[in-house]
Amino acid sequence: MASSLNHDIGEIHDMDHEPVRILAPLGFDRRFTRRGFLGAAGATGFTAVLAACGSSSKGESAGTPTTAAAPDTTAASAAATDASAATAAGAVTTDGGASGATSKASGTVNLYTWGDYHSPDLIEGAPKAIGVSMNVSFYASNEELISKLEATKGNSGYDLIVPTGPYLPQMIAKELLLKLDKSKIPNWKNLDPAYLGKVWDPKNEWAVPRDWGSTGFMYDSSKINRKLTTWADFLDATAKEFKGNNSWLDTSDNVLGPYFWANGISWNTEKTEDLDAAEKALVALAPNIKAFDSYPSTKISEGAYGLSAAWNGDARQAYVRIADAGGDPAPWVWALGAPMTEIWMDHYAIPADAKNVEGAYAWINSMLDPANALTDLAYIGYNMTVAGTEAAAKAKGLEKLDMIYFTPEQLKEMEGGVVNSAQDRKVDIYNKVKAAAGG
Amino acid sequence: MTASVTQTPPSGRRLRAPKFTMAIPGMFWYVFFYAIPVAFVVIYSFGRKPPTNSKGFVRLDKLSFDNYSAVWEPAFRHVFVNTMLIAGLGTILCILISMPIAYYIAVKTGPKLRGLLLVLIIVPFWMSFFIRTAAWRIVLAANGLLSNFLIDHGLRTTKISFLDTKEAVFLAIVYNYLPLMIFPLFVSLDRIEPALREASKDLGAGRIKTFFSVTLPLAGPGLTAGAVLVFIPLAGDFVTATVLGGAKGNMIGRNIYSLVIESQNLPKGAAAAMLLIVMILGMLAAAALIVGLVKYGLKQSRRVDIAGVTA
Repeated sequence: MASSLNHDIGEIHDMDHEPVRILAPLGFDRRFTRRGFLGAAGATGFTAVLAACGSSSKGESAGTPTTAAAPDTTAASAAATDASAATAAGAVTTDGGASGATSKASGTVNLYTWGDYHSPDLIEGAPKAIGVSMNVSFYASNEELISKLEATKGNSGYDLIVPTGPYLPQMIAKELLLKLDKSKIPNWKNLDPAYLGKVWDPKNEWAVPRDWGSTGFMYDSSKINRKLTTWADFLDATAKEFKGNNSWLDTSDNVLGPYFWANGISWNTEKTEDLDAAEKALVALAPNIKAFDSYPSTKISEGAYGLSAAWNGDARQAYVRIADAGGDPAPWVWALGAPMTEIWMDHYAIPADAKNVEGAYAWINSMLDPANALTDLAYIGYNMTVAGTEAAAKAKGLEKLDMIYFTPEQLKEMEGGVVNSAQDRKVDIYNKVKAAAGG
Repeated sequence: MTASVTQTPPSGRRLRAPKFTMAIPGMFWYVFFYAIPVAFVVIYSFGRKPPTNSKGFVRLDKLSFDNYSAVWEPAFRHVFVNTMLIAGLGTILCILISMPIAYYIAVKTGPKLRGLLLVLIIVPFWMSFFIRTAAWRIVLAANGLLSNFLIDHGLRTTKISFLDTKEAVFLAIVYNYLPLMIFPLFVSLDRIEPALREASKDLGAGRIKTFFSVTLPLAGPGLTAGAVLVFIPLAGDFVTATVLGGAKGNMIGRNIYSLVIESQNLPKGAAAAMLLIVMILGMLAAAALIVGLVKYGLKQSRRVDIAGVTA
């Protein structure tokens, strides 16, 4: 696996991922699911309480054996054990070597990230584990992240961000990032080398790889008499069986992607004729689309959609959410898009104007601890970059691992995104498709 | 002793601050937090987006109208028109629903109940705009409260699918903006002396005639204030449409957000914002013109020729 991964990912030039394109509703979605709410509320409220005793209790946790992972790492039961999150927090581990490097960390780290993208156990456990409390806020896309950092340059108020690979060169050019001091990240050694040295940060000077994932779709098989496997099926079902009852991901790349992939065209195409054809086809298809939703899992549990394009981690969470809402997840079928689909990788990075740099390093270092990576994985459902997490997850018997870990055949069909000369045209088409969908 | 007599009388002209002193805080606020930012938006709307891998968010080296023509192409023009239709219809719906409520509170209730009703109308405003919009999803979802209630009581056999439609947007728009219409209307109706209605009755007018000839014209200022308060924020609203309209709730406010944040194209977003301002002003001017014409027409038709009577 590792070698094939190495090969496949090594081939990829760029990865693209801009999950949360929704504007406000994203925050709503995330925060209003039980777990998401606890994650967000806990990050601000609960940790503030704990912050006071953060420094004293840290010594305690350092003395605790570091093998005590979160008490329950299956996604399904994670929701049920929220009440015990406070106790689970005590189980968040710091690597022995980390304590020296993070001893200076204190105060609050303002983490600016994707919606519902960190295990609440880790966020709530931060004061005990690393001596800082995490204040989490959410952005909806890499573009939003960059727009806001650029507009408030020098005083953004954020200490830690989670950008996607292809957007890093842009952020480096705009001088938005702080160069990494790896001596403050002793756990760097835990990173799987397969994820290092990518084209967007060849020397790994600016960002720490965190996780990666892909895109597919899920549908309610009780409402359709055929099997959907490819992106062509997805487009077809959008116009037929699931007309007006489907959601698409809300980013320019992911609105155009399904069309290109269905037609065997690279989604990084810069050819005018490809883009023109995509515009024509998608604008015609648009009135059948019910919603553009980057995190459909919550609304699937509301009964809003029968067919939804989704990132694999969110799709995996949908099964938990459907059951949480009292529904039956059994008829829901997940299909990784074929014959091609996307691959993306997110990174931790520190904004140039961060105030609590020590705290940010402490968090990054703590997240590179294998036990914490496993806790995070169990919640978010994306491949972690810490070596050995896959084996640990399999040993733990986490649910729906087939939605997290891909077969070599699946990996072969994945293609990373590139920010290229077609970007503006793609965003233009995306806006036109959305206008046409409004009818 | 005579010295005391030479005391000068207090001067009639005391030193006074100029009259506009009280307006200074407000003017300061408007200039720095309104006029200057809007001026920036105007200037940016003629600039261009810098290349992706360079600093800054706007280039002002070559000013042009390109952004305006780009946001006025058919796909976006359609959204502009749609937004104006939604805002106009939403305002009319708010007027139709608010009028009886405001009339009831102002005219038919005693002071105690009146206070309670006004508080009840304000209560939803204690919640954030976003939360009270999003709360509708819980009620109206296919697996939501209303759907389950209807099915449990045998009133429906299938789940409702009301969310992510234009109708859902209208429902929430009326809900969100209704108080902004009720309050000015209430104030203007409350000020009308009951004696005027009594006089109208004494002069032989029925209830309906009294309402249209006496009450409604006197409520005019409240109606205008309410319509302006509802129409303008509604035209720029994107929360309601985004939360409840799904792909069908495409309003221009959302496009502007998308242009500025997602497309990282502040100049184009600024141009769209300027066009929105112009369209809102145009709509208000058109509405004022129509109301003015109707009033003029009514005046002409009700003219009484006093000379003829006396002759």
